[in-house]
Amino acid sequence: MGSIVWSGLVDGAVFALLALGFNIIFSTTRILNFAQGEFLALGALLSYSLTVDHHLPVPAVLACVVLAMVAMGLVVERLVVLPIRLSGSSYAWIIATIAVAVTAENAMVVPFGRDPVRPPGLVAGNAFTLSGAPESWQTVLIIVAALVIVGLYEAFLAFTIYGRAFRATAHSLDITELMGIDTGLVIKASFVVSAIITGIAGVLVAPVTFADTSMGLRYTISGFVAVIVGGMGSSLGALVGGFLLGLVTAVAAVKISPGWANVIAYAALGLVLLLRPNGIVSRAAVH
Amino acid sequence: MTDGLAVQDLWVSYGSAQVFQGVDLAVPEGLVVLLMGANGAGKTTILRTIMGLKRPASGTVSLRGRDITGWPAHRVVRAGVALVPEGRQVFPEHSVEENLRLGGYSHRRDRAGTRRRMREVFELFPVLEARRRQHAATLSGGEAQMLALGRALMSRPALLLLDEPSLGLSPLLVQQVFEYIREMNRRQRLTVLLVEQAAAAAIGIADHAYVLDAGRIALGGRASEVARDPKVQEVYFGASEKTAEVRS
Amino acid sequence: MAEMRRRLDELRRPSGPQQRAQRALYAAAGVGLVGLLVLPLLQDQLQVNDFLFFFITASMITILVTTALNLCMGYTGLLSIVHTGLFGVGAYATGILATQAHVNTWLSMLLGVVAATSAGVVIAAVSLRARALYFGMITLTFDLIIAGVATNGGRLTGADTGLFGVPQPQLAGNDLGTRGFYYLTLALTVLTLLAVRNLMRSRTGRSFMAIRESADTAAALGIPAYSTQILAFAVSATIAGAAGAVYVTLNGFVTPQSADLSGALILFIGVLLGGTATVIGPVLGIGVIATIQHYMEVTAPNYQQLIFGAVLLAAMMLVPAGIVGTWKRSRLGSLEEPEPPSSPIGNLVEALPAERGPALRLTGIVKRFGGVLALDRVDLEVVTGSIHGLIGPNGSGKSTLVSVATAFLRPDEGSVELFGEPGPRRPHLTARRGMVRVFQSPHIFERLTVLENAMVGLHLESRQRLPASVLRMPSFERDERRLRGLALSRLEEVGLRQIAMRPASVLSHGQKRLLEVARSLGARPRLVILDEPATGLAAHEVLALAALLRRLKRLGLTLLVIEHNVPFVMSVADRVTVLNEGRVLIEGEPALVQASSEVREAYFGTLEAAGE
Repeated sequence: MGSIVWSGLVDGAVFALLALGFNIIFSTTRILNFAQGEFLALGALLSYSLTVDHHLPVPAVLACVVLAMVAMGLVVERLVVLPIRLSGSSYAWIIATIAVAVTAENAMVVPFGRDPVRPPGLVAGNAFTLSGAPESWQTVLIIVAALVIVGLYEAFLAFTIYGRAFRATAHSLDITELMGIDTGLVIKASFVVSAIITGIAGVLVAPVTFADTSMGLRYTISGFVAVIVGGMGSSLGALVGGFLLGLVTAVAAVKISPGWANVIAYAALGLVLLLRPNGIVSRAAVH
Repeated sequence: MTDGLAVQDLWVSYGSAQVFQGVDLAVPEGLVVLLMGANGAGKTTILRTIMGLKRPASGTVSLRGRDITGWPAHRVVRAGVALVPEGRQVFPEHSVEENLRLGGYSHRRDRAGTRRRMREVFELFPVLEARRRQHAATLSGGEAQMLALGRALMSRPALLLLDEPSLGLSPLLVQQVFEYIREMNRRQRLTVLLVEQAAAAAIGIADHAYVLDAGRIALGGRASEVARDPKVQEVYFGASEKTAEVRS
Repeated sequence: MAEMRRRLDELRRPSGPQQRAQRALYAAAGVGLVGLLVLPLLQDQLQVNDFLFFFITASMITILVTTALNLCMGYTGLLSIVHTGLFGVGAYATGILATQAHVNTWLSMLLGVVAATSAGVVIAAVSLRARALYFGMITLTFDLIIAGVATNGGRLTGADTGLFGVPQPQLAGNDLGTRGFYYLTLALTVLTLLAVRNLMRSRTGRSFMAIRESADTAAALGIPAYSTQILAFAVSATIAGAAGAVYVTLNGFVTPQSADLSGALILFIGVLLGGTATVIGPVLGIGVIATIQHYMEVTAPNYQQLIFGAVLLAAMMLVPAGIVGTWKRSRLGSLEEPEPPSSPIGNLVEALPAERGPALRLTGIVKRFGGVLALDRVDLEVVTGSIHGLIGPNGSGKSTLVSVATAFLRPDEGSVELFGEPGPRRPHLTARRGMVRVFQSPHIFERLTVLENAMVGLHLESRQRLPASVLRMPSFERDERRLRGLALSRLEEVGLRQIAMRPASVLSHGQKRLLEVARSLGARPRLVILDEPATGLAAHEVLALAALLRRLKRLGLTLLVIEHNVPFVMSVADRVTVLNEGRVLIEGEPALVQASSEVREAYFGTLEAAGE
């Protein structure tokens, strides 16, 4: 049982980071980014390529991934925000983000191919054993990293002037502009920060699972379930939703069957949404 | 003229509704100018257009000789204009102090200057200092108004736009607020364009006044003269022979 | 402004190029249809192999699902990410019945459609309970569940590999075959498009579109949002399910991929590229996609999805209105439709019986918001057959009072009486009780024509049923003509009859206000509450509005006018109530109110004194 819980927490940590990524973009733009998982996929695949094909050391790999995420974040922002503004349709956001997701996934096939890959961990070795199975340091790193990143982000929001600007933009674009803050820049920054966080999640999770170009959509859905369950607009909600989803899916996969685990998770999501439309840790009122 | 604010031949519409057609007004440097008019006449829209939150269909807005028409709002702020929006609109989940810091965003690098500005704001509004760590959502209407004013001052504006500051405030508070505005105008040579429906209280502190009626400037001039003009009564009130004719 | 007027003038006189263009389009469509019908017969002459028919059939299946999605999203405004799932339900249900239960294939297909419709009803009923943003998300969840069940269904669904060996339906003892399916699908597609067209030009279709524009306004006109949205979703699911049933019997198999999200992109492209809320849009959109697909299969099969993604993004930026929408906006395409036939109406607005007693009586209304006393023991009495004005400075409580009267708010104390009976408890019941509220910002349905807007107002008057609408039975035609006649007479009342066929979006602000009044009259109100009707109107429009209000009063209606524009109110009202800070300051005839010094002070203050 212990190792099931542990693997659920590890999955959950990744889901939580995805949920955080969703939250960041949602808070400034009110868009749910269907392409969110593609940041993770690129991070995972790029880290494999740089580590195994180009033999770069870990710090260099991280630096490259961050740079790639900055670029990707800016590109995705344009590809999502422009069509929405020009289209004038109220569904523009979902169609645009789905289109970006599909395009990104298929664009990644070109450099990376379709075969699943698995890089070595960022940290080697096993930390401890649970129920007879060894758990690697990588898994510990994932959980710790998720907590640290969420904590850092919350600190950024609470203690820096730029974090305040983020929160202000989330409240009202107009009033924030009146403060002399360029909200267009804030929105671009939110895409970049979200991309970096999600990309790092990809780097973290790649050694633990198989990375391939189709993983983006899978993680988008999981992260999305996590953010809805936990509550939109709340970092704590992202953590709660992520870990909860990870645990439920892990337990269901073993006790019932791996295939049904996801279906159960989705059904549970639907149920949560009906009973608590704002999520479990509800904070932001969603209009 | 090349000082202060000049609005020329402004046409603005919201969708199919023509909000105003060819508005001209001038706010000379260092003066308090009042813009009056019945609701729905477009007073808020003028301020939003000057501020860059709305693009005019045609016409120009210039500040100290510089054409700022169509500039995005954050650029207008950096040019030295601040707007205290209708209904205060403070950031409810930020504290009083954070609201003020956000107001001073455009000068955030000048830490000493920001500290000094905040001290000045607290001197002007002592009650804000007492509540500096409280969330803005917990403030009363009058306190929120003061916070909105203080927040606008933090950006060191040369021109202050105020949209119905008296809204929802008791008469006593309204008096206080207008006294503050007069004080800021005198102390800091702050040019003020004030939009008010409660014209009575406001006219006492104004140097010039304009009357907006159905999208056009109906009257403009020295405040004391405008106040006495019978047309003002008519615009607000329909009390004239003309309306008596229409009724029958 | 002048440009718009000139273009509108052009519309009034059908011009040569526009008519020719439209005729050319119809001709092209006719030729295309005949071509499709005759194609199999010319197979040998044109040297095409069977694969072409298969390809066209598959494209038509996609057109069907896209039409279903368009009905749901484009016309009714419901974002759905489950349409591939509904398609899958139709396919799987048909397949399972035919292979596992050995039911006759035709019957299996029928039952498959029923299964899809049922799934649609359940999904809609559940998803609509969540807030608007989450509706789409819950449909996504359902799609994942459907795909998940298909993947994990073991022997029943064929699990990952899918369901195989589905027999073709039989015709005269033989398999239907490629040509048979071709004609079957062609017939199904044409009939579906016709049915959708008929549906959208009926009371039901108008109610769908009204909900898309504004569910609240639709409710105020008597359209129940929940059940109407479920109906739209159910019809949409039926079409998608039929497509699935044909798909599985045509191919002989179905896999979970057919039900999951991977096909959703094409559907969205089809709807958007073709033009949302148009009948022919899905055909054009899928036509373009199918052509791209055909070429890409030959040249670069691996890049298909990539190209599609890029096409979709480009389409959103370059042709946001879709092919049909862009055409309609162009010079050639903006031909106004001629006025459809209507029954003449005798007297315009039925004379209302003389009422005794006040139309509306509010007594002792108290309303608090948190610690703020918004209304402090307010009394208001509106005499039947009169125009009553309600004025007061900002924040005086006018809107709150009206919201209490129309049941949007419950008073903490006090009572509401409407024509002698206790007031309605819920907002959507007000229309049935004869009280209608015309809001400050016009809530007209921008994408419908002026006439359609007026006809939505007659929703409660009509008794059309869905089957009759789709089949265009005589009962439908009669009712529709009667509604048109009523609607046109309402438009005549407010002076908008000549522009009945224009889209409501081109009206000026004042005209939109008049249209809203016309639409509200449709529900046969006895009391009309107008919320700041003069706001944003030009001077001549204010005069027209005042004249209209006086006309309505002569016809026996009671009017309550809330306004800031005091001169306007004084010119039309019989009596005026002045509110200030939640209390009634004075009530009486306009002259009396105007002369009152208290009112002057509240509004206007001691301006003269201050001026000195």
